[in-house]
Amino acid sequence: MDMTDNRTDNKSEFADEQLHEQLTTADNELLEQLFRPLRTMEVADDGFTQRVMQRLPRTADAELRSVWLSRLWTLICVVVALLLFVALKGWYVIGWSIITMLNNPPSMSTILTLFAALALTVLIATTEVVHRYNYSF
Amino acid sequence: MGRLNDIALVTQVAVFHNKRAFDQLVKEYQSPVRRFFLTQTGGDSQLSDDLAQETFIKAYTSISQFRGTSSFLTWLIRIAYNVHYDYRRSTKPIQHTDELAPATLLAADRATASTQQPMLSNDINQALAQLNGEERACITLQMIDGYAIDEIADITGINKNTVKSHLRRGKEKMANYLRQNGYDR
Repeated sequence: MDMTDNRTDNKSEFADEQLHEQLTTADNELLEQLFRPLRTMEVADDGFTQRVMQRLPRTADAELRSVWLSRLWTLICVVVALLLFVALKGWYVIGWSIITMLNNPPSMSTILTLFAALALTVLIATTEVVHRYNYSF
Repeated sequence: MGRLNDIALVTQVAVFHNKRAFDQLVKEYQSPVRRFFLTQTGGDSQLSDDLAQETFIKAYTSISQFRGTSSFLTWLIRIAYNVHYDYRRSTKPIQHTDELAPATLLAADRATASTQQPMLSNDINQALAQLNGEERACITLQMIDGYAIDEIADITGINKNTVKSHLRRGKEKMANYLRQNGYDR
């Protein structure tokens, strides 16, 4: 059965090759000549864009509200974080941490912990990217 | 319009639902999308516009799925091909644009000519009418839009070797038709 299928495929390919050979330069030029005007053909808008914009689904408005709420929430969080940073004198904490680290080089366990945290972050990010890729068009 | 600019506009639409950005994208790409449909529907401008509208609406509702691996126009043409494929399947028992008889097309063209200027010439309509739907899509994507075989396979979802076969057979059919009708003189 498989052999018959292969023979049919080969026959078909052979027939295609023959067709290709028969398609002479003159034929190609004939088709080129026919299609050339279409390559530069511009279809005038004539209100088409407006009609498309009017037909866009209205559900997008509800989504727009949720997008704006999400952005507002992000802005509130950023403002609160900045206020806390200033109120608690965050620069002292950062400076103190840097000086301590310079005076006392990190131990092997600290380096390993940092490395594990980094690996975990990369793993989560990769999973997210793969997930988005699989569910995209 | 540059590819970066397209991506910026797509981001505006996907993230902020910016309709002005989508308006710019429609204005920029309506011509190639409508031209694609004109060649697939035997020059039926009303049907082409309806299918093109459906294409842009689908693009809007699924714009977050645009990955940017191909150009925005290629992505749109892929949607357009699927819209036309669905249309052909849904209307098959009534009217199959796959195998429009040349006489039918001539009559349609005459009717169009009496009311408005036809967008595609009779020569092109007649020659394209010799092909089936897949052959017509492959040939127009290559010879009008300039896509490579790989890209055509990607747009249509057809195997690369099958695309090559469609191109060979389609060109052969068209060339024969044109020769028989004295176009080579």
